[in-house]
Amino acid sequence: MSSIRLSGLHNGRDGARYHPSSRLLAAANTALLLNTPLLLAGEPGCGKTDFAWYAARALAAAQGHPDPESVLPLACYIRSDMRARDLLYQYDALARFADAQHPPRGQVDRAQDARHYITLQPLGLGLMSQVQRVVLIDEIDKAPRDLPNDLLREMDQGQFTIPEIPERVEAEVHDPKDAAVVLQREMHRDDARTRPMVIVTSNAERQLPDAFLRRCVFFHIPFPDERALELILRERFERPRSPANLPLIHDSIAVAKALRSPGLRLIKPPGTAEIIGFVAALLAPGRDDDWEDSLPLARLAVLARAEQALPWSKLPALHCLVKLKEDLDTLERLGAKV
Amino acid sequence: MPISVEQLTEFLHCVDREVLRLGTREHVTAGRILADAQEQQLSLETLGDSLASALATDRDEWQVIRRCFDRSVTREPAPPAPRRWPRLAQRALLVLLCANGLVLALRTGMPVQKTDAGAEVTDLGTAATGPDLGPRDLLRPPRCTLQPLDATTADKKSHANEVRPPLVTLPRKNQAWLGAAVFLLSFLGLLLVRLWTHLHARIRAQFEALRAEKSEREARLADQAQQGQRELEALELEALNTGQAILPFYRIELHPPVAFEILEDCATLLGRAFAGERGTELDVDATLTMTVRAGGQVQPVFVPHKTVRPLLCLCEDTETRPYLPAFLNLLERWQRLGVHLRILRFERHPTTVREPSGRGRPQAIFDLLRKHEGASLLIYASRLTLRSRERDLEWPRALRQFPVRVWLDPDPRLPEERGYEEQAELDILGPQLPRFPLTAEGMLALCRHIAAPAEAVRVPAWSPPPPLADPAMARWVDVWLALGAQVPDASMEQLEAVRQKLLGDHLPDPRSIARLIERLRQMLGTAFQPSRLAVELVEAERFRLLAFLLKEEPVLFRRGFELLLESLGTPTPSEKPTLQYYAWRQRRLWYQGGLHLQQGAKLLSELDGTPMHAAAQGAKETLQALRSSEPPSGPEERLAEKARPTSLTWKEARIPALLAQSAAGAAVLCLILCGGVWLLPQWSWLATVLRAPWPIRVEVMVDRPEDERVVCQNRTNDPVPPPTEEVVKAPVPRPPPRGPAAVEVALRPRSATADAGLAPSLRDAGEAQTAGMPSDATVARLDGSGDITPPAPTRLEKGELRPRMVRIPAGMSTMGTEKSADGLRQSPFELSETEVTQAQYLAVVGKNPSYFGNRSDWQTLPVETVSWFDAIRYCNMLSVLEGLDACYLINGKEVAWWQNQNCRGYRLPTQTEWEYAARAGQKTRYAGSDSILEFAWYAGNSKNRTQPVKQKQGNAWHLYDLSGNVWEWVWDTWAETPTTPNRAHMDPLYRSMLHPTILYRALRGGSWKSDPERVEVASQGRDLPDSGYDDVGIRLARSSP
Repeated sequence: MSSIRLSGLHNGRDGARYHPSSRLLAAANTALLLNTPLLLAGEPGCGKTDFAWYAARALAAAQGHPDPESVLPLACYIRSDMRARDLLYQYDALARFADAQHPPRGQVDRAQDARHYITLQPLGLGLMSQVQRVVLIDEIDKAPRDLPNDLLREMDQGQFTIPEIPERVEAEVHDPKDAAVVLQREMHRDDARTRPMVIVTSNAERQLPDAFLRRCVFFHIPFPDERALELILRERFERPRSPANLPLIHDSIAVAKALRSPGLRLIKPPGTAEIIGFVAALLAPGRDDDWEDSLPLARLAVLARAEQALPWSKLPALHCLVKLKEDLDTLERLGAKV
Repeated sequence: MPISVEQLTEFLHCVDREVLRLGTREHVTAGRILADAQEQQLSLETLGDSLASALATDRDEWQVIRRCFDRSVTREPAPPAPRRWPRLAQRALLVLLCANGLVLALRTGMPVQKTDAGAEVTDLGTAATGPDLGPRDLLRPPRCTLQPLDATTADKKSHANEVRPPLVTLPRKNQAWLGAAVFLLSFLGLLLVRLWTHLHARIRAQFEALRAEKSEREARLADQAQQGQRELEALELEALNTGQAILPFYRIELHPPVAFEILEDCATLLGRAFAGERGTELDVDATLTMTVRAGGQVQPVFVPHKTVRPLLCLCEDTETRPYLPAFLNLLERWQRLGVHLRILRFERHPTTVREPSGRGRPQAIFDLLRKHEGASLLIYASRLTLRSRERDLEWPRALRQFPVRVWLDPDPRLPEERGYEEQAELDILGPQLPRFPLTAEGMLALCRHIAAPAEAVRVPAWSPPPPLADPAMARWVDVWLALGAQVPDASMEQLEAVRQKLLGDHLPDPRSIARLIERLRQMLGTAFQPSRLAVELVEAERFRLLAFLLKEEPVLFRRGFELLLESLGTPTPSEKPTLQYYAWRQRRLWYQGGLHLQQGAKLLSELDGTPMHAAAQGAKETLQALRSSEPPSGPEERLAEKARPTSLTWKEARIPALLAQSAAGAAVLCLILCGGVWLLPQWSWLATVLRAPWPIRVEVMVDRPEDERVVCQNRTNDPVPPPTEEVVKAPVPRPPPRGPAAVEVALRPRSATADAGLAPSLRDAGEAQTAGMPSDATVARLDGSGDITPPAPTRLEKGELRPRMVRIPAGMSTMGTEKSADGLRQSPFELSETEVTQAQYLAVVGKNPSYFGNRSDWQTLPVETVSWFDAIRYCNMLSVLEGLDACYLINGKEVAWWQNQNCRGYRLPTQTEWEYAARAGQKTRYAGSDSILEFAWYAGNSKNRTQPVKQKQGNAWHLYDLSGNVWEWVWDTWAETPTTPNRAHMDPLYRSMLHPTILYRALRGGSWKSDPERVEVASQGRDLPDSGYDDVGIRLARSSP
């Protein structure tokens, strides 16, 4: 039974502290306990991918890593033409062919052995790693429909086959990325404790096969509430001893909240990432003149808090928050009435 | 929290029913999660989240499963079967009986007695005798026939002998009809009864479900509250155990206890402490000389190599702890100035020493000697005891091996005053360890000794600060202690910081803290332990001290409070009751009310119905915010952590009693906060802080006799009393009753009066009136605040604190030169007649920063060398002193309005206001006239200094020195052209958020140094808000209510 649990605060992808909700942590710990993938859903920009970085670091910290913040997850970014094999290993047939034609000096029979042309990919590396790692499979909904199903066996049993390697081979060849891994036809590790923690993110929940879904621990990351949002923004924009940016952060939250209100009916309301970008844009030094024809944020925030209509086109750096032409038009129309 | 098998089964069934079919796999999963949760002792919340995440495949499922979990876990045992309603059964039985009885009666042709109660039966009987007797008539209610039955039996008994003919006889056919009808009737009745019971059971079930849901919700809330409470306690405990993290926000900066120049001198001297070593380079001349002298045999002489001698500081940290923070601060400064230092600490005697952090193995003094050969040794201790085990007493021998060794003694007592034993120790140690006092001279002598040990440096005379028996000393120590009692974290370093900040003039000796400890010993007796590092006063003591302070030194009291406010100046997060808001309020309660977080949570929840769990969450957040906000860094801060107050006493028992009282007094909530008295003058401020929507009453009842109880009503909610009619005695016709209007008439600019064509005599009369008019009393009453000002300290006359205020009438203002003169509507406001003088500033702030502060006529000179922040602070403090609401919210370098510009307290004028007042409706170059000489002090006539205020002529509204003498800060930020109000100009807060660094504040009016052009009304200066020069001063403004 695994006694390792993720806890505490660790850095996310951009080096700022990631604040996971207790529910998210419970889900992640369950995944860790059950040795099943953790499927994260949620709006774009709510910190799904970031969580993998957090998890990698928290896991390293729980394992007693001396410098957990330097640990990175093994990340696979799904492309639409990927096959399950591409997540496990890569076989460079072209290089082998080239070597067979023009053998490199001193290694005449290099091309004889297929293992020289095999590189383990993140999932394969994670499965074979000596310590438990975090593997991120990002945006799995982009993958072909078969891919998740193809991965089931590997993830369930923690082993995979590399058919390119013949059954009988001499001497050991190690993986170029992780020297501790010996390449062979049947790749497996008996130790279930080092099975990687797989984090799968998806933007569209319903497009995944049922069998896959039932083997995952599922969690939907909600849009952070005001408090969590403030925590996130302060983490990034507030220097430890000077709360100088605090009013701006509060105002930004108020405005973003107004933008997200269902009454506006935006097609793509701003997510966490957009709000962070917005605050960053406002805080960028020397940009005062860019927003010559806009109103001060503090004033708009007062309107937003009072739940009144805002002249949206006067909002500085609106383009950081709203990304669609339709949404901009909507705001323009609403703002014109004010 | 364990979950029973039944509950788990119930949960799984619920999921199975409502979400998805569960297979073996899911059951195994759930079992594993449960086992893990029990092993790790996870909370129910976490367990629910885990199960939901493991079983769900999308968001909706997740939520349904989570609800299932909540329901099955908090499910109550099945309610007992609903009891039957006996009344119903009875009724049904009755109906049956009636029907049967009737049928029987009719069949047998039994005589029916006519009674009063059986009127209907008689009717029935008579109706039945009629020819057209039908079943419809018999449908008359059978329910009332029991009584006749009873009656008949009773009658049968009582009139047994009477013989009567049968009243009714029915034909056989009709009897059958009737029987069928009655049967049908009773059947229908039964059905009805059945329906009624069924409906009733349904309603009852619904009601039960509702109640169950409610109790479930309550249980969940209680569970959450309990959990929050537990987490809170765990957090606090953890923080206490690890000695880490909860740093109060309230921190005053601590400085080294000696002046900076002396510090620098010392550092220079210490930097010169060289040790000569044999170098590697040959001194050719000397070698030759020596060789020749030695008769040809080579005698190499090497150039001595100079190395900086490191300074080894050994600090005793038990008894001397009160002095230690300041000294460590001093060492840190030296380190920053480049002195090569190594700091270690020891207890009692320096046999073994440790790292200041407390980590690492203790080292023996001999090892230290080997490691730092040639170092100078500085021992910082009030006493070096020689009473110990034999082998521990070798340290004096070890000391002798250090080439230079000194002893810095922070104890102010004379050697003669010390105990016999200590004197003996001093006699033994004295010859080999020169001892220096912790004063400026002492430090300098000590450093000189280290730098040049060969020169016999004279140890300065031992001069302790006056003893506690000295009444002046005793008084200032008490004041100090009282100020310290306002500080929630009354650690020694905070007390020392308070001394440096507020009492530097009265208790200049850094060793005064010894007197403070003496005083505490007197006061608390054995309860006082200096090793605790913080002074913990019980409530009564604290109360007594604060009352004393309020009476004796109101100005210092306010300053202490101001200091507290300043360092507490966290901005309000939002008005809405979010957790963060609760957290913020709790923080306030924690500091200002001296309430511990839990108590704060409790009080909040009792005061405004904040759910307990939310309050606890808020407190938790506060704790977390506190923990994450300031990671400890320097040795000073690490010391401060341990000095955290553990708990402050709060009379919890009083709250319920007070609340009971409040229920009687309808919507009057009583708030009792530690001392109570200290809150009174700041009452309005407290109302602002708590933003209480209800009227609050503060009752001071702690340990006070009945007649001394003070009750103070929440002033902000009271209607403002109408201005009293205070008519000015003047030989003019009685002005209209409204005061402000009268003043407006009187203060109308001279030109305007002239335009109106008034006779000169009238004009003179008007002037006379104006001169007598804006006396303080009148203005105070006219603005309506005179009556409701809380009792101001009696020792302070208002006139001493600020110049007189003159009411400026409404009108159209013009800005800048004539070309761009555009009208802006200016509402009436008040502006001070002169600039704030040095005496006034001193009375409020307690110090006089002025460059010309040592002139004989300094009292009437305008205050200068004040920064914009100083000016803002002066305004706030003045407002507080006069019982008005402070206008500005100060948070470090951020200044904002508490509410808006129309606040009640004092503030700086805006540019527009200033210029409007300076022009006074005229178009002169200088304020009042076109000729500079009679109206302004400037470079040409000021004799190179500031001049007493009100020497030159005033302008039309009797405002003096607007042009010249000193520049005057205004609120606005500086802009190229003050005539065009751009965004940043209008909204300084916005600008300061974007460019916090390049924010200039504007200055108006020119100064004694200025050329005539700069003194003009339209001219404008600028400066950084935190710099003050010898020609920049303050003029006050106040919004008219």
